[in-house]
Amino acid sequence: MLNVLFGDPNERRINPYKQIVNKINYLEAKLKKLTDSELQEQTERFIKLLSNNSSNEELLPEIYATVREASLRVLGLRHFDVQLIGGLILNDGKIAEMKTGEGKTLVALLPTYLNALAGFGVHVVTVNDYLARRDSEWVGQVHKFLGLTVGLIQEGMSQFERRENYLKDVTYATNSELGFDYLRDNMAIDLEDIVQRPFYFCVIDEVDSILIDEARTPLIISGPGNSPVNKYIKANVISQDLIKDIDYEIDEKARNVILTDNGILKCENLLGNTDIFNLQDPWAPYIFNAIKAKELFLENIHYIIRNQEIVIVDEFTGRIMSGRRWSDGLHQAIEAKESVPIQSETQTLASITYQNFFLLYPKLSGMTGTAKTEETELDRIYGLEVNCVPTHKIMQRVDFPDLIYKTQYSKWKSIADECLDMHNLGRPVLIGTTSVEKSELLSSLLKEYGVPHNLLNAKPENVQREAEIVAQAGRLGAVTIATNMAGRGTDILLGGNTSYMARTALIDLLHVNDASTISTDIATNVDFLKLKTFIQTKLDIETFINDPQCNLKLGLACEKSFTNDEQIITLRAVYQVLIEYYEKLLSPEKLRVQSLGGLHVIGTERHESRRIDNQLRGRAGRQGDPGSSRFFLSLDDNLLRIFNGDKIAKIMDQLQIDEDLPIESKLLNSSLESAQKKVEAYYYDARKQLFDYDEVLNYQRQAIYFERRKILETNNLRSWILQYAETTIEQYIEDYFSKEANNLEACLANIEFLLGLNNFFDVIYCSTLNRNDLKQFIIQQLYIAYDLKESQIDLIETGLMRELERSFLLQKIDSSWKEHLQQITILRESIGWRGYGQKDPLIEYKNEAFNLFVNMVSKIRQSVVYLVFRSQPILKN
Amino acid sequence: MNTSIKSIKKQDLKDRIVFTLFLIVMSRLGTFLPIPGVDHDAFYQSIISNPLVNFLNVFSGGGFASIGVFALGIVPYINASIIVQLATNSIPSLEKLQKEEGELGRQKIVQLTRYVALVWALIQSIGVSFWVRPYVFNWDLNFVFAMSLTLTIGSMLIMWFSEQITEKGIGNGPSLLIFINIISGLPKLLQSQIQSTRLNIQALDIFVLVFIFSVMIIGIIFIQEGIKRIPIISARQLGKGQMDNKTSYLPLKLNQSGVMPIIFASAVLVLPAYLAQLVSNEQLRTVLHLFDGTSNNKLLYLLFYFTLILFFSYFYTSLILNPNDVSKNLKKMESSIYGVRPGKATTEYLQKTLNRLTFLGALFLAFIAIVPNIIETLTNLSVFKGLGGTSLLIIVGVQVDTSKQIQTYLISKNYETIVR
Repeated sequence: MLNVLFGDPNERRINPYKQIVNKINYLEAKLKKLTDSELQEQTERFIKLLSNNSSNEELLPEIYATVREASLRVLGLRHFDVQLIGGLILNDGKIAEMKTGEGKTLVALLPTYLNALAGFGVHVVTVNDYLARRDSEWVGQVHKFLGLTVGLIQEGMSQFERRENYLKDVTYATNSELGFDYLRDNMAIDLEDIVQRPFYFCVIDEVDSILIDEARTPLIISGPGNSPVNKYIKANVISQDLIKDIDYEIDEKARNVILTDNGILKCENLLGNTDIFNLQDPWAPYIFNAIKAKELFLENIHYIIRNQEIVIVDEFTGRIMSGRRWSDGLHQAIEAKESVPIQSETQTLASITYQNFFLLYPKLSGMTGTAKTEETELDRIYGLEVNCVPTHKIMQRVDFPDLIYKTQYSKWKSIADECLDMHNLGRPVLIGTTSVEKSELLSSLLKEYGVPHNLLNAKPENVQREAEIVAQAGRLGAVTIATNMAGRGTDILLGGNTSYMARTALIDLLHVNDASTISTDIATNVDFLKLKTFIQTKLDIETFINDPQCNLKLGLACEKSFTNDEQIITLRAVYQVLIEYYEKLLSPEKLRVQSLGGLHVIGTERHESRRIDNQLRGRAGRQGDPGSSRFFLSLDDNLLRIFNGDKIAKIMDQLQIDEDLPIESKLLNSSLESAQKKVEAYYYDARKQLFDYDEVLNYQRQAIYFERRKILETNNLRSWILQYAETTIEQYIEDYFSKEANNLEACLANIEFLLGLNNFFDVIYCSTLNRNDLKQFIIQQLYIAYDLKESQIDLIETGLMRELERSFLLQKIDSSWKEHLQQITILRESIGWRGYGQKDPLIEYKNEAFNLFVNMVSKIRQSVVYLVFRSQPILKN
Repeated sequence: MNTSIKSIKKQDLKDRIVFTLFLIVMSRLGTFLPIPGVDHDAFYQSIISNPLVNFLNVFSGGGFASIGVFALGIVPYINASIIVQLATNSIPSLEKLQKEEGELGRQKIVQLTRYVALVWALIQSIGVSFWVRPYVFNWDLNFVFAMSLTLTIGSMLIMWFSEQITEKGIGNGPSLLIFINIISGLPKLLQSQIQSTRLNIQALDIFVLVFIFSVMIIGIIFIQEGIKRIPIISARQLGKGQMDNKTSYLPLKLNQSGVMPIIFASAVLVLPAYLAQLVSNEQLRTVLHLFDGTSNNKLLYLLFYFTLILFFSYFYTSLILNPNDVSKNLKKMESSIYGVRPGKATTEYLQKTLNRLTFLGALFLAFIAIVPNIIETLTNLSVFKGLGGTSLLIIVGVQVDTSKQIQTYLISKNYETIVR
């Protein structure tokens, strides 16, 4: 209704961009005439103009036109108009929603180039290391062509490499690498160890995944702690004796367990203990974790076991998260349950949520295929507006209405039936499941039906074949079962991915000598020997394979970029032959699949948010291809059961139909919708709360990190320590004068203790002084004492005092901060009780956290001063 | 981008205060905007002596004395909140909405409160439009319609103001508006007091007045802010070895029920007066008058009032705080009261503690409520009676909460300077 009156609001936001796109198009002809070197000189010119206060806006059309032209020359890819719009949205610090296959990587080139001209460094954030490398090597060439430097951060890089790469104009990295580098930088004990520059601008790929799905999991750097292994094992044994609904209850929504009175008694009997909350010998944490491990964390759903290790499976991406561990002893409890070695507990040294990390960037933008449904959240929390970029070609996917079954059993049966039908028809099918377990269930069902299929889940043996499975997923009659892994970033090409197949064949060519052992079908169809000998004449295969640059060069050979490297040129020639072959082979198949209706996506369960459902649907119908999607649901699906249980049960009673028939009921559909909305609201609530509460910690973190950075940057910390000492002494004296029971002797004793002096001050003399004089007198003494201490220490080695100062400062800040983080966690957990006293928990939290912080800071001051004054030179003879 | 994030992060305190003040001024303005068609002079003369209207007046900010557009004020919304709160504590489906459905559920409750407020405002405004009939120039159905529509809309507007204050301003909107209404009545109250006693006002009187006032304020702060901290220990805390944590406790208020017992008790006290008007038996009427505070011997009336407050304190506390729920929540959060076993023992412990607290709190509350009457009897100064214990409690409560909120806003600014 409103749309009719005012037009589509998104359209109105996009329209101004269209005018700029016209300008860019107008400039294209002019830039086409430039030679390569003239085009490259543009960069210099832009930098000069920008430093001469030319406005960004004025230059923008020309800059974008230059990037587009460079991209065409280097990559052979010219930005479509809609991609330019995407680039303009990003440059305005907004989120651009672009459908799958619309070339987000290319879009990101535009704003990164423009912003990198300022010289402060631009970050492009991708979801995994592979994508970061691919993007930096592939589109990074456009930046290089134009004279910018390109950096890449990968897991396992050394500090030196990292710093080098962060110094580049444009740096590609994953969100976790960026975050961890930030945390590590703020734990550095030497200025040299800091790798990042101050943040300037960043483009986040799959921004909704990072800012929304991952928002609830903070980045944590932890150090070793100690854990009583026996307790975990014993608690696990006890938990096996406890019976569900008698000894404990389960709250599925909050993912919590509740011990009943009966259960508590039972535990205490089994332990021979009187109180599981006993301070001296606490059992409660271990028992709760053991029950959670037993009931709420299941193998092949929440984790898999790999090499005697519990590895978490990410619920949103379906991928394993190596190295991550559940906190607060939960991971250990699961290890006890699965009888694998129990690793020691860890203690948080530093942490930050992605929310707050990315808000450190003064300018932030992002791209994703699915952001519109979470528009309000992105706007309210991050101030990021979502703009939809129109698709280049019109989307042709058909989304069929959901089919709802009464039981899980009939649901899975119908899914298998549908797979069989589609397979017989020849249409490729992608089935999205929510866990490893369910994907395997369907796989075994399809085996019974005799449907050949591929299985893609977090299991190591399947992960290895991921690229291959995805490349083949669009072929005639292919059936692919996947977890959420096949969600984001997976590009399924109809008829198969020719460039992937050509690339594999090329690798095979290099590695295999005997044509008969080649697995791919090229051996029979292409003149294998001819190609092999061609390569051999140009380069020595043996040495090339062992060249550490081998993979990089192979990768480059499969791209279109310009190169002078002989080896790459050779390989590329072979690659082109192979591509041609596969295209000829697969193009009829592609047409066939298209005429059949393209890829069919089957959803087996509604996810926590419509966004993730849309991600799955988005696998079909890319770039104007035909495609379809359908969700199969059942009334006992988790989501429906947990969030709309009562209503569903009522409907169940009313429905008296056959179990195998899908149910169609308006009532049911609306209750389904409301269940999903409830879940979304529930989690939004959780994230909003996290954000509100985390704000405090964010201020504190910034204050501490700022102080710490200043310490690192300061050469001489003498005045720093002295100021700490002064503040502390002033505090003591203030306390003495403000308190009723003023005991000068105790006050002076405190100061003496702080400064390592014995019976130094004369109480009678001091009592004659007023507040200011007393302060001045003692501070005077402080300076004298400090000079004495300094000359004493420097006797051993000149400059030793400076080192002592720095190391005490950093050491105390770090250890106090660690302690503080723990206290804040406890505070956060217990602050909810304040609601019973009719206090606003958030306000109470802010105040309490502030007090904790003030205490921590004064404790840091005291102990640093104390340590400096207590350090004694020990002269070795 | 930069600025937008910052503005979201710390909406400036100054902006919030200005916004709040603006809405308060608007709400005051509306009470002086007279409704057309009423003979306001005649109306004012007739109601100035009516105690019932006076009571209402205090909360709606004097709106009733002149029948302004905002005459109903925030009262319908407050009443609706109380009704919904009572309902959520007794109707399971509402309770679930409140406790388990997160933000969406709470939003639904808020929405429900608004509807109840609308209905309340409608009924009340229709009532008012009939009630003012004698003072209306041209009373007919049109007038009733126009008047009740105006009053209802006014009340809804005030409700909206209050929500805006809560969300974008400072303090809790509804409480703040009531606070303003009470305060705005003060000058008039003092004026009338001084006028009536002009001839024999003495320094001693003023001294006594100020002294008693201070004592009462201190007493009120004491019962409003009085809290018993029950130390709580959680499984996570135990796991981390953080035993001596002073921040994890369950605070139980000395006076859980706030001003509600006084309001309920006052409502019940109106009954004898109302009944006295109905009965014709002279003896019975005298007896009833003993309870409604109009007879010379106030002892029975005060005793009755006192007992009622005690009773309603217990009643309301049991409604809003159920030890069994707390005990269950403790289990849910994997926590336990220090030194008390989880489950039944915890429930019993909480009930016992709550009973004692409520007894103490209720005694104080009842005392504060009847002190103005005692003072009037002893000194003939009726300032406090006009102001009333309820008003004082509200004034103190709102001020304490609002100032705390402002302090919290200022905290984030302190972080920059705290380290050194």
